[in-house]
Amino acid sequence: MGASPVKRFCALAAALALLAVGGCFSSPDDPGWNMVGAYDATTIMALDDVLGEELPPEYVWVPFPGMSESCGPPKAADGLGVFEAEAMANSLTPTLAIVLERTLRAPEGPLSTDGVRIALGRDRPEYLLQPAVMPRYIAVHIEGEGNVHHKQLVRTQLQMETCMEHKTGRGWIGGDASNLRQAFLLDPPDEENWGSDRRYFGGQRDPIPSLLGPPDACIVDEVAVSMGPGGAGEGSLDLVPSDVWGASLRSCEVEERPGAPLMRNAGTIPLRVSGQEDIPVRRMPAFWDQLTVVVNPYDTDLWKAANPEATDESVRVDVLWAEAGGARTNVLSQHPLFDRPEGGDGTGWAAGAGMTDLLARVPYYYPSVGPRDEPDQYVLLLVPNWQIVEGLRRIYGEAQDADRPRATGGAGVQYGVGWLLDNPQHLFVQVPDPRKVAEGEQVAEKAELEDDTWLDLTEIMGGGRFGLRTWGYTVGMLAGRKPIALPVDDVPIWDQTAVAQRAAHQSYFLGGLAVLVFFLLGGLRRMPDLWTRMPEERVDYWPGVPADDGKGAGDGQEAPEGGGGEGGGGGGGGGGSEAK
Amino acid sequence: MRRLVGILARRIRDNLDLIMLWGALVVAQPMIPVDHFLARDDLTAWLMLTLSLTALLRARHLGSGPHPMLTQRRAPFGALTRRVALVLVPWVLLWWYLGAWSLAPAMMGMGFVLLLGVIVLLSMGRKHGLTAWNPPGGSAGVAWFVYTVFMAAVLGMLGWLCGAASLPWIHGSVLPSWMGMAGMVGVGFLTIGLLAGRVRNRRQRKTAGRRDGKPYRPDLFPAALALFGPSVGLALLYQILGGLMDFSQAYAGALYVVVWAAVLWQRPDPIARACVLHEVVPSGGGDKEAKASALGFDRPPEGALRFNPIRTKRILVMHPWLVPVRQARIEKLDDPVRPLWAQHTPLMPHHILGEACFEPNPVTRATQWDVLTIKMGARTDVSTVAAEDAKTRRIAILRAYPRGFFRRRKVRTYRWEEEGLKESLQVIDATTERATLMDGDLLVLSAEGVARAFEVELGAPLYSTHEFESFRAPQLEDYVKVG
Repeated sequence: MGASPVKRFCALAAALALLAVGGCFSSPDDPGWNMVGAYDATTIMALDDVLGEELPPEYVWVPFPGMSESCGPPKAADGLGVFEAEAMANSLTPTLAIVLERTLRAPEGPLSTDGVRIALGRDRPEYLLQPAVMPRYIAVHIEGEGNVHHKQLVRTQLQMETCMEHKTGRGWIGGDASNLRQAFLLDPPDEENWGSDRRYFGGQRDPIPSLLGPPDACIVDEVAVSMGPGGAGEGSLDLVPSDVWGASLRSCEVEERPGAPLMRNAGTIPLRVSGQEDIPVRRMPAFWDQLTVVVNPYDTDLWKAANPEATDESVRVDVLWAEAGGARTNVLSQHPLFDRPEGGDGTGWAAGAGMTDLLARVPYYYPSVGPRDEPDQYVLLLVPNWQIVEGLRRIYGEAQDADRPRATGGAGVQYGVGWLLDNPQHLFVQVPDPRKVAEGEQVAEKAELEDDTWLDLTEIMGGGRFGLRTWGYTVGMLAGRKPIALPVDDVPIWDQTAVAQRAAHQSYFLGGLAVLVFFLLGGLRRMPDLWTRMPEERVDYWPGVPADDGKGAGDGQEAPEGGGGEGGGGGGGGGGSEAK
Repeated sequence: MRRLVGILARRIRDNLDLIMLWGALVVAQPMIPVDHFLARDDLTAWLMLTLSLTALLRARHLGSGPHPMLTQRRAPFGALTRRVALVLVPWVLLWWYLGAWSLAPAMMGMGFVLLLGVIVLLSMGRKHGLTAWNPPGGSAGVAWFVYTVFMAAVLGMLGWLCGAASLPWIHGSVLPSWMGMAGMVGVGFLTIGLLAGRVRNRRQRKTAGRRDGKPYRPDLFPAALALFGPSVGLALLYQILGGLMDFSQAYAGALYVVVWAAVLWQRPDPIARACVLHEVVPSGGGDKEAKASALGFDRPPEGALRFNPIRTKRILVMHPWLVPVRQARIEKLDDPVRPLWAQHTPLMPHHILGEACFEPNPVTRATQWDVLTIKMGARTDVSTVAAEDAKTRRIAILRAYPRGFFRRRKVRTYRWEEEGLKESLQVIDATTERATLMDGDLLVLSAEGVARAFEVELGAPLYSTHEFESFRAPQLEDYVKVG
């Protein structure tokens, strides 16, 4: 018998104690969010088409009538007639879906655009991607004792930007004039590349977050200004100047106060998380938020006496953002309404002060999904294919300049989502270090890609802490049991989850690994046999059936080469008893 | 180091079935849908599945078993039905637990239906393992009934406290689910182990008494270890993992159950192993003819036939051989039960080469049946000197691929000898006291001008004394027939 049960029990207890000691030395490095899914949402939705009995309903972008009335008709991307949200929800374009899971260290509430950054790069983030965001429903309130014409400027800015969001289905997150024109599709096609310009739903060069539903906006306590004489772009399928200059906002109804629900269905794309039958989407039903801009006076006598050189650049504004949940954020406080761009050298356009972009300071949120008791448990980030393709061409193109837009589609990778999933070392999903945030340390801005203070979540795609992918773990995801989220009406079935999380591949890999380890250990065990010299035993005589005539008997030289296997070979039964 | 490697290799080899089972569970785990019954986050279903499969492979009785002098009946169909019954036991416990957990009578009813199936299967297999002596004593039916009611109550209470109860004295809280999980595993091991035994066995031992005249006292340690060991250990493991165990860590839970199965249900050691000596002839290896003039000692001799262990062919002559397995501990002698009649004479192996047996591993002292040890009898085994003649037998054992990580070079006698491993060639001469044989070894016997070669094949182990005792020991003429 082997060791007694007592000894075995002691050995087991010792092993458990060893595990406990190991557990004490492992320090959890919780970044607040875990990446639990990365897949092509379009492919997974198509799987449901194959497996399901009925085709999923088609998602249609229905703008708010009030916005169409005040801003004019929505136009989406020029020439195609669908919004990016429609394209993603209706499987018209490959879409990279990334699912983040909240941990205990994550801040409460939904994840804003400042809370995560997704980038492409070779060894570091080089090119920022912009996942789709939830639309906003803004009740604009302009107040303060400032001059009327300053208020009008603020109003015009907000009207133009909210109306352009309505027309293009894209969210404005700030940037320079070039970014603004690209975001709202204002640039004409490149003349030198006429016919191959990628405005036609190739994105418009720089990544811009698309809205997952139509936005809505109104203005409080103001008399609505009718559209200009040129209308608001009703006469053209393409964007025309009147789309911009004819923009206006309607007056808010009494029911459209902050915190009040929308009076109609928000029309955002449906989102469902696998394994959950509960209400999945945050902010459904949607509620009104309020953007309050306080334009402070500067022309009081007292103020003028103290500031005799005061100009328009001295105008200060306060911007308050009140969310439906009750959270109030002081977005800007005593901020100049007219500001000089940073880095300007005092000449040219930068010499003059521009108007501060107010709407860009208001946060956007990524869609949250989860069970009823934890509706913000998961965050779904949807990135359309064109952003990835554009980034890959910038990084790997001839110019290799991540900041320089590519004018044409060109050749090369077309299925950027698939390429990125196959090469996850080029994907960066980063969040600010929660410890630094908690300790009040300065965390780099989202756009500062050179900064390395953000924590990366994509380790799981590369095989976790041990980098299993570099050791051959090509499956790529270690979160096979986690749920997935899709822009569909029905809860994703297990087959979709299994494909998205590569469950079968993980099984095959584990099975293959077990067989490999088995043969590897066996091979290592037997490897010395390759150079082991065979032992030999020499004998002079070999028994056999004695020949009748005695031929061969006794000479001891009848041992045949290879003939011994034929039943004894030659004679040699007699003779001496020598054996060496 | 050698001891550690030896123990590790032995453990892996002995538990290869459980290791493969765990590997299969790990491979299957990602394929289980998240909403599947087996994918419960409290791991109860997955652990019971693991326990069920380990019972299929290994389930054995806890404790001493029947009186060692009694022969158990063999009933292949009965063995199958008893094994299936043991496999069903974890599912009975699971349905009871879940039924109480969710206060679902249907689930508890399912548990009782399965229990009925277990009873039917056990009754179908009642002949298997049965021993003749049935001394009077406590009724098996009453014992099993009491145990079943007790276990149903325990599991029901456990499930109720973990799932649905609202205890007033702890302000509405319930026990954490991992406590139910840990308790179920212990109860599962205990129940399977008890069901694999018989109440009759206890009556036999109680009636026989002990060698020293003292009354029989059942050994409760195996049962206590089966009940509390897995439970407490699993609770500790849960705490080590920080309470984060869900189905994603099911592989850890399955490994835990498998390890405890290896501890509690050890594979029995055989009493003998069937071996065969295949008579073989060389296929090649002949030297060119010897020259007339003698060669110097610095050159290899010519004209010989060289046996190479991998260049042989079997002929249709074989010699079966049963070799006993010596155990580090002799269970029969350790067993304190009083014998029922006079003991058998100890088995005496007889063989041409001397006393052959599988001795315990000299390093780990664990029972092994891979290396056959031959103890040479007298020094006359290889040489005999008569009045007018001296006869010498030469015995060489060739081993193509020696095992083990630690190998030694052979000391050369002649300069022309090729270097080899010491373990590759054993030459039995007048001073040899013991030799070892392994599977695939080539045994070359040269006696009186006759050389014969035998290939060793180690076959299946035997667990029944009856088979061993009825076997005819090999004799000298079976191997070498001098014409």
